[in-house]
Parts: sequence; structure tokens; C-alpha cells
Amino acid sequence: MDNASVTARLTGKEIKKIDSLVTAGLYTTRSDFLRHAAMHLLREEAPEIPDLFLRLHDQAKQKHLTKDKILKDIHTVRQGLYEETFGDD
Amino acid sequence: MIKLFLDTNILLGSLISDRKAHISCLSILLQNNISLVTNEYVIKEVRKILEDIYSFDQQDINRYIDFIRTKIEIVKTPSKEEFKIINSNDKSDRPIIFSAKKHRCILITDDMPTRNNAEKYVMALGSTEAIDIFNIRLVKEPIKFAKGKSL
Repeated sequence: MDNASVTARLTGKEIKKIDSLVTAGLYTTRSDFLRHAAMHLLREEAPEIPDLFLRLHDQAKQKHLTKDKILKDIHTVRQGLYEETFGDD
Repeated sequence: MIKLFLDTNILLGSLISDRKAHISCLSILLQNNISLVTNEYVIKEVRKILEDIYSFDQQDINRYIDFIRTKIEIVKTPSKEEFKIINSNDKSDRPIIFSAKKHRCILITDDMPTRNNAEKYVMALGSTEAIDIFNIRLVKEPIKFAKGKSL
């Protein structure tokens, strides 16, 4: 995707702090700071996660998994898992 | 401090195609303001269902479980001795109800019978109620959510 501009509304205090970092030479412009901040946050939020959810969601779609089907299947599996883990009561 | 104990249907609900259920479950899972807890019994169940029943891609299952482990505190499965104090119509729900109670959590489940059984011991809510009560911000649909990554 090509670069695009986004508008962000910040407080005066936040802008002042960003400007002081730009003045100190840590970032070239306010935009440069915001780009670094976004990159940092995206890295922290695990960049591969959105793709993973998309793939899982596609697989669920192909198998027509609905909430009701999942609840029914969990019920069946839970009975078996209980007996496997704790034995018969 | 509020802690939410997530039942299997919430973890799997984050993957399904029913839009409303999917968004509620995913929003609970991805939020960062409330502590999330589940137990090994639930994780085992999630893996078993994705592997044995739905045959999802093995690597994706592993990644999903890894992701869950980073987002949620996973507590030990209680022993039979521990959860015998729980009186439930469905005996297989007892390890879940007990863990939620032991760790002082609110149980989040969209399974009505489990919820009814749990209510004697813990507060239990459905996913959409949890969204409303805890003011959890809803995530975008997965397709938009994933596209955001390439920005």
C-alpha cells in the first residue's frame, strides 16, 4: 500500500513534548516521531497476529463453524476430556 | 481487581464466522485493560477441537495457542479432590467453575447450561454482556483488522 496521511489530535502538552524531541534531534519532524511511535506499537502488538486471525477465520468459514455448532462440539469433547483427565466418577 | 475467566467457547468464538459472536469474543481476547485467566483444561479442549474435530492447520493452531499464552494467565487444572465441592448438572464443567471461583474471576461463557451451573459459585456473564458491562471497545471485522497491518 502507498503511503497515506492520517490526522491525529493530540494535546498541547503532548505536542510540546514531541517538539522538544524533534528540537533535540531525535526525530526529524513531528511526523517522523509519530511514525516511529506507530511502528513501535505495531511491533509490540505482535505484527503477525492479524494475519493469523484472518487465516483462522477463513478456515472457520470454510467449515461453516457457527456459534451453535461450536457449543455442541465443545460439549461432546468436554465429556471425553473429563473422563480422559479425571476418570469415570 | 476484575479478572475474567474465559471458557472454551469464548476462545473458539473469536475464530467463527457469526459476526456478532466473533466480534464480541475477539474484542474480549484482544483488549488490554482487564486481566484474562483460563486453565490448562480449557487450553487442552481448544487444541483438541481445532486439531481433531475441525482439522485446522497445525501451525496456525500452535500459533494461536502461543498467542493465547501471551494474552491470558493459564492456571493449573484443578484436581478432582479440589473441584468436588462444585455441584453441577454437568460434571465436566466443574474444573472450569472451580478455577474461576478459586482465582476470583468472573466466568465468561456463552454456554447457557454452564453459566446456569456456575452462577451458584461465581458471577457468570455472556460475551456480549461482558462487552457492555466492562465497556470493552469492539474490534473491527477480521478482514479490516488484517488489512490494517499493511498500512
